[in-house]
Amino acid sequence: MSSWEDEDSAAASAAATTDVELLKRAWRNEKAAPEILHFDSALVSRAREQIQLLEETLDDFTDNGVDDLVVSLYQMDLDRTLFLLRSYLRLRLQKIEKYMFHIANSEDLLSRLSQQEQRFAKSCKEIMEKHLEQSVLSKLPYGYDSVTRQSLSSTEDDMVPEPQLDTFVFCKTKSDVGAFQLDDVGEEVVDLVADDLYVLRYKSIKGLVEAGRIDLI
Amino acid sequence: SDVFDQVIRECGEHNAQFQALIRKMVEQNLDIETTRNEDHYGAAIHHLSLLRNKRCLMAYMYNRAETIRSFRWKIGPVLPHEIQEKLNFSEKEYFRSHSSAIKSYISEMDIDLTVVCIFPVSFIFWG
Repeated sequence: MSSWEDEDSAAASAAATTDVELLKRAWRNEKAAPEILHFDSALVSRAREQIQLLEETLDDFTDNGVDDLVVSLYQMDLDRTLFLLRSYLRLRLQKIEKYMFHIANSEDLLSRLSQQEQRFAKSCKEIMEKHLEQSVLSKLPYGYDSVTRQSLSSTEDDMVPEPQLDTFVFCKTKSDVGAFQLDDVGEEVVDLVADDLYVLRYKSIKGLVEAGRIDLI
Repeated sequence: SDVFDQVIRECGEHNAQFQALIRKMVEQNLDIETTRNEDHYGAAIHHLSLLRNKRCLMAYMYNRAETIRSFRWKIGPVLPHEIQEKLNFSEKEYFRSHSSAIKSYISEMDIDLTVVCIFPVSFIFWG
């Protein structure tokens, strides 16, 4: 029995940094964050390798007639990993579609996408521009026919939908951060201790999420 | 699309009025930027109405485009006839081009994302 416990705790500590855990963490963060986060291409390619490995193992098992329970366990693992990966990519695509102009016009945001996502974002934007121009803008008088500006007198792109960075998110700190200033005014200071649950505005903790010290739930 | 054309025509009229008023002010040798007579305000109203019409039209088309995109993800690359009837020509083209953009992404990534994602129950037990 004690050897089981040892294995359990060893497995638990190993699980903290396995690819599945990392993928799950990335998926949770992406789901909760209002803007698109950085694409972890190394993680995604490792996840795909794992999926392939699992599929091959499963094929081997069914060929060799291995016990059904073991097969179903591996199948469950495969399903979970596939779901995580698919959902992660799908969430990102949805954000790209929603904020296509905002993302395509910002170098910083474009750099957060994978190569394929960048191509997708660019073609999304072009398709939308063409569609809007064809149906609406070509019939409007000169001076009002920009997709991103209301008219020639607008000083900036005022017709671009942007993600709401002020939304509240649930988050959990992974390690001690200490006193943390919540906004520029300097009025609210929050003590962030390890493993605490908070509900905060996304904008305030944006830097911490990117650094990996806070997890969104 | 009748209402649509009406709005477009209204925009054209607003613009015509706007231009006329601006021209009138210029003929009177008034500085467009700073003069504040009744012509200026008339021109401002035309300009702002035009902007509002543009915003409404763009919002209408944009939201329809969002719904069309959701069709691609939910239904697939071919739309049923009832839906196709309700799209205008540009929207059908939008659907086609967007579909192929999605298809090229999927083939580049080699993972089918249009498969319905069922949340695995094992998450509840194993986290």
